[in-house]
Amino acid sequence: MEKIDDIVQQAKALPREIAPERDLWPAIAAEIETPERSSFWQLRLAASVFAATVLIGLMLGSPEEGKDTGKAAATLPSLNAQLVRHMPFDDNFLLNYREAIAELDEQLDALPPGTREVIAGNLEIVRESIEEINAAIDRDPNNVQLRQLLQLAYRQEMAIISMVRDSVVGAEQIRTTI
Amino acid sequence: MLLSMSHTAANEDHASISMDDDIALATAGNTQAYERLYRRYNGQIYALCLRMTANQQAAEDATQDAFIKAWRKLSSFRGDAAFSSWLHRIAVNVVLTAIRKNKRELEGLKELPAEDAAVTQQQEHLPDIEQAIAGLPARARHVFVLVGVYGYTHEQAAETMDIAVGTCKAHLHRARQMLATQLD
Repeated sequence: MEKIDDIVQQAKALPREIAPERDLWPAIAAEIETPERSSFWQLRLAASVFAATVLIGLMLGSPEEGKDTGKAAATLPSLNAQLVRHMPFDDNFLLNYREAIAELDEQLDALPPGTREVIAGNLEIVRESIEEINAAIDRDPNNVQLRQLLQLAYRQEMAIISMVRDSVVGAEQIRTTI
Repeated sequence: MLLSMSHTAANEDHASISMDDDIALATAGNTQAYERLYRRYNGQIYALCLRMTANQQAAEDATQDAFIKAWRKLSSFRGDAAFSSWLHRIAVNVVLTAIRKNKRELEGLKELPAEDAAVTQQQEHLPDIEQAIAGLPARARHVFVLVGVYGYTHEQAAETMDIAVGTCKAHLHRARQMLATQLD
């Protein structure tokens, strides 16, 4: 019995770390350093833009359907300084970006509430991605991949905003023609 | 026996970055941050895999697979458990899955073919208790490593190994008796 107790004590006291005799990292790195892992945000962004595109396409097909002149039911995620702190473009882009954002609320008001809600949701996804990437850049300022990802995220946001603007203008023209 | 973790530029150059930062960065796809996590934990995970498999090559493979699997599952790590515990669970599952897939290859030192004798080199330098554990039959060894070395409860070990609690207790009893005989 004493022998077994001794074994139990020895087992509990065994070192928790043993270094492998060779460096295993290169093989791990070869497996993980593929585009698959880093595409998480791109996939989210792509999904949001796809959803917005489909919705706006549907909306253009029936410009009057479901039109709501009341107050916006969906809350558009707010733009703040944190969101643009690592803006990877020049001042012109930032100016256009701010102008587009400023007009967006009004343009969204012209859309049916369901559409507006989905677009706001998609913009929120993109902006969450932007915030996450900005936070990652805060910690790793020299990471080129993150900056490229941030650029992509801003472009995706602008793409959604442009689609909203084009759809509202297009709907106006259709109504005028009719 | 090599007890210290290996150090490289990946962790020395970023001493000011916290582990939580590295987890967040790695989750965002930063492989440098993940390498630092690897450097921090590879010794723990390899020790676990070596004790479970009793085979240096299998332990290296399992350690690699565990870190690859953990990388792919990082987004599911919620931080409600310690990162080391999370990694530990992944490694145990990797080892047990590999053993189920290829029992013959991972059955243990005593059953290795003669040409694979080189894999026993590291075990030869281990203390008597480690060598004795490595010599246990697979199931008894797994239970002893999980319960006796790493402090799993019988319920946790039984669930992890997909066996009954009673069976787990029987394996532990057998393992202790065999170790007592071997170390006498």
